[in-house]
Amino acid sequence: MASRKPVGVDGPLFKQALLGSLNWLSANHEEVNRLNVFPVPDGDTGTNMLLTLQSAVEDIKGSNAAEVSKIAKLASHGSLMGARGNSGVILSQIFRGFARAVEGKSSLTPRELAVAFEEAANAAYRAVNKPTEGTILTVAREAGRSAAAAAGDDDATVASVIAAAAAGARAAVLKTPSQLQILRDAGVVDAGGFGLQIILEGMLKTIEQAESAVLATAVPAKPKAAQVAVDLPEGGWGYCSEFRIEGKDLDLERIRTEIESLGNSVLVVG
Amino acid sequence: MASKTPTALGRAQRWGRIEVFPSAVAAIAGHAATSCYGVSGMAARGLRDGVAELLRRESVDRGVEVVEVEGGLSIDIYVIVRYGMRISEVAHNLQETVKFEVERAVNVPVVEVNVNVQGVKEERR
Repeated sequence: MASRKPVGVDGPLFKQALLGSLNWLSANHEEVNRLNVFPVPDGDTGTNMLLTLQSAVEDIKGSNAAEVSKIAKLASHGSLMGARGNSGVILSQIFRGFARAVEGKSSLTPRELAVAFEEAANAAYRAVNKPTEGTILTVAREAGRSAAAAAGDDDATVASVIAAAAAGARAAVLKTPSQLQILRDAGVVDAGGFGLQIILEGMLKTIEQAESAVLATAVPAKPKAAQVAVDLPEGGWGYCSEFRIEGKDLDLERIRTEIESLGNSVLVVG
Repeated sequence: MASKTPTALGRAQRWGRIEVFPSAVAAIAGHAATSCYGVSGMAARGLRDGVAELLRRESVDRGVEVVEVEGGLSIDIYVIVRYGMRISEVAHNLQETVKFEVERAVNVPVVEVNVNVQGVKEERR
């Protein structure tokens, strides 16, 4: 097993991919916040998406399920319960659609993964009467389409499908200002869509690392591993730690300043 | 529905008065609400035979009640949300969106937005 390239997405790989998404979003959520002008310009999209994803990952951290369906179901439940803000609620629907699409499956082929991405976007669309184009919804749909196109290739792999989804998301994000006037006026791309792009890129990084790690054991010194390392944010991947402070009359601002000095992406909620 | 005394919604201008009726505000709030993620539609105030009635698009303002209070407007909104969502968060997003859209349209502060979730609708598959 360890000497072969991952051919399908099973529970542990999907879990790892989501942890990668969380790390990458955690490193970039401030940038997402800065872009937030729609529907209400309150600059919290990145934080909301991060908290929602954290809640999704919280539930899967303790699970060693071998089936991708079980991990997806836990993520769906976790993101539902912890959904924050509009983008968070939409993200929870994306996870819900994904979980439904992979129900009963222990591992996903590249083709099945692409179908799940598409179904995730469909589920997100179904929960709104008048979908606004140029938002996270559009980005989710384009990511799904592009994953499906890549899965049609004979030599499609899990990595190539996720890479296509991330590339599709990136292209869709760049197009959002042409679809939504308010973004054009503010001179930004859509925040939620960009957040989704980061989530997919985080997955891709993890899968590429997993593949190159496997390759490294089979074919030593594969240059691809070095290139992946270059893409890492300053300070490397680091750790994601969460804790809870309980008590009366806690000074939120003071806690925030003190904790901020300890890490490079700190989030204090109270 | 029209207010007679000059209030938050009516202002004397140099060339005459401008008055926005609460029913107009209700329409703005209704349209903002129905475009919110997770909202299935507006509901008629009160239940008919214990069942929430989903309003058609033309009559969305029937699910909104706008009252002028001290300092601005108080808006009560009656909705049906979609199944499978964290209702508290959808309602919270709804409050923010309605407040933002109404304030932007009529330039009167919205003091409160009370959300009444009258029902939950299963999505079509």
